[in-house]
Amino acid sequence: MGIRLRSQASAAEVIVVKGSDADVELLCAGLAMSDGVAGEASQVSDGPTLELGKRYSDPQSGIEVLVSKAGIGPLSWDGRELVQAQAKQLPASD
Amino acid sequence: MNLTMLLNMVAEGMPERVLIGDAKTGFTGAQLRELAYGGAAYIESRGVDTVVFLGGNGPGFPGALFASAYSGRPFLPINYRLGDEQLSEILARRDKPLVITDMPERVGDAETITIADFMKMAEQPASDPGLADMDPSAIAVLLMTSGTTAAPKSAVLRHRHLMSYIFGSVDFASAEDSEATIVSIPPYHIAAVANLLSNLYAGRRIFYLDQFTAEQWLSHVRDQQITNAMVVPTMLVRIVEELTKHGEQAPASLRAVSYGGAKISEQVLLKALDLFPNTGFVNAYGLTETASSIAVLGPEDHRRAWAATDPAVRARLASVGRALPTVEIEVHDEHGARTAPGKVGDIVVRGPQVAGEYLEAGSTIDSDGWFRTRDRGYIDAEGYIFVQDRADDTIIRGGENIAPSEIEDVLTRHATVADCAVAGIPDDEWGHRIAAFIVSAPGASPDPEDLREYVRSKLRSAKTPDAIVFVDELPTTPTGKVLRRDLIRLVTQGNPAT
Repeated sequence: MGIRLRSQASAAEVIVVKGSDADVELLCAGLAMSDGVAGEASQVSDGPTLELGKRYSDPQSGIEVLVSKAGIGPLSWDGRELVQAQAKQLPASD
Repeated sequence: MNLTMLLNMVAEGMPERVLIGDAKTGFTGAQLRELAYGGAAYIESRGVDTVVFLGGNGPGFPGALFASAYSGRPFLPINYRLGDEQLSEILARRDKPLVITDMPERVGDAETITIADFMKMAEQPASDPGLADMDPSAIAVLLMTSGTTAAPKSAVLRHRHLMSYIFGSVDFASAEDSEATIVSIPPYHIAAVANLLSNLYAGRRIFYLDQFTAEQWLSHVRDQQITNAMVVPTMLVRIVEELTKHGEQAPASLRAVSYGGAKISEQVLLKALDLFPNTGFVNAYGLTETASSIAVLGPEDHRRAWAATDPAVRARLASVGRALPTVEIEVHDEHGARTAPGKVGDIVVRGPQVAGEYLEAGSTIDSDGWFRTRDRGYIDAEGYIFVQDRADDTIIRGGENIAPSEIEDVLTRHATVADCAVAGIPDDEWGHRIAAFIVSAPGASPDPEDLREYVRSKLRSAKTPDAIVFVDELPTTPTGKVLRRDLIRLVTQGNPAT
């Protein structure tokens, strides 16, 4: 939870909002994301854009990430593509 | 996870949107980040360990907060209304603070820079000095809370607590670019910190009004086309009075008003609902130790309760709503077991935004992850939370625990009473005697015996006040929390009781 992961194939970066103990890697455009240095940003040109600020989740494992830098995806976990989470319906309390 | 990520997303995703100050002359997210970069480099060059902010509301506050984050230092906003001794004592707890302030003469030996000079750093182009501490457990903000003992405690908020709260309750760039909020909550309060982060992340412009008057507030709401506002109940009272005085309704631009920080009187809320017919009201309940809101009573909840004929639904106007989806809230009895719905006990909360930690005392979270709010209350069958009293305000008379709010709720219904607070006066024989402090309704002269008899008729004689004391107004903190210890002192320092 709270870790920032960087794509090794595109400019995308995500923050893990809900993690998992499972020994599975989060992939972006087919390559494992890294918590270290980012990869070459423009290795892929084909694929869905991961939009800045959107959340993606895997309903089966419950993992959820937030896109902190836009880039080309898709995101996948354990062979499943992550789906975009719905916008929150909470009223602004601040 | 780090607060800097938040500003990075805002500066990159919404670079042109003015987010701090006036719509025409204010700062964009990108400009705020430039200021923060420059500020961070300055902080690093001074070799300090903490960034302290001693000043009012204005762009200096977000500038200083983010500069601290980009410099890898904790940020500590302090109440400028504190006495000199208390201020020195708090500053002395830090080894080498930098105080950003427009009152440098108040800080003794500590290193200072004026807010104006600090803001000049926005004028130089700068880049990220690369000093942010990316450990999610690094301390982001320290806030002083006052407990029931004399010395304030330093509540610790780590980056992960604040970020969990924001990611869990706000969607990025969800505000339209015409939205704007007005803030008069002081910068040393958790609500101001949460407000800054939430609104920036949502993309809603923040307009600061440092010295609140209802007249100025209404004037700015109109000029700035303000759509959202956060107020404490005492502000709402004054705004309602001002509108009533002029026979006006609230400005049409206001879509949402959130309130919290202290209890609100039902009469004030009902008047507000009447004068703001097109505004959604939100009651937010939260603590410094929980990185602000953990429960909200939203606009739909308000509307449904207001219109309800079922008393159980109607009663929810006095609740703080339901828990946010990212936290769990329960009510526990003295053994730590969950109480039945409707049964009063200790309100506890757990979740990733709950910090529950003080520098001086460490973590106060129990082995199951629960943090005790030290508020007493109950949850109804549908999950609506009702906050009654601070646990510390419980009166123990003749071995029996009595909740002040139970007696206050009865007394406030008496026609001659405008407001009241009930407190326990230390007594050798009884433990506590019950004193009721009454603010009379305009033109009324309540008879103390009538009031005592009124309470006796509704509750038992054991809950009847022993003493009735008349006061012109109830002493409160700037956010409206009643200072019971000041009232108790009125009696213990020999003033006549009735």
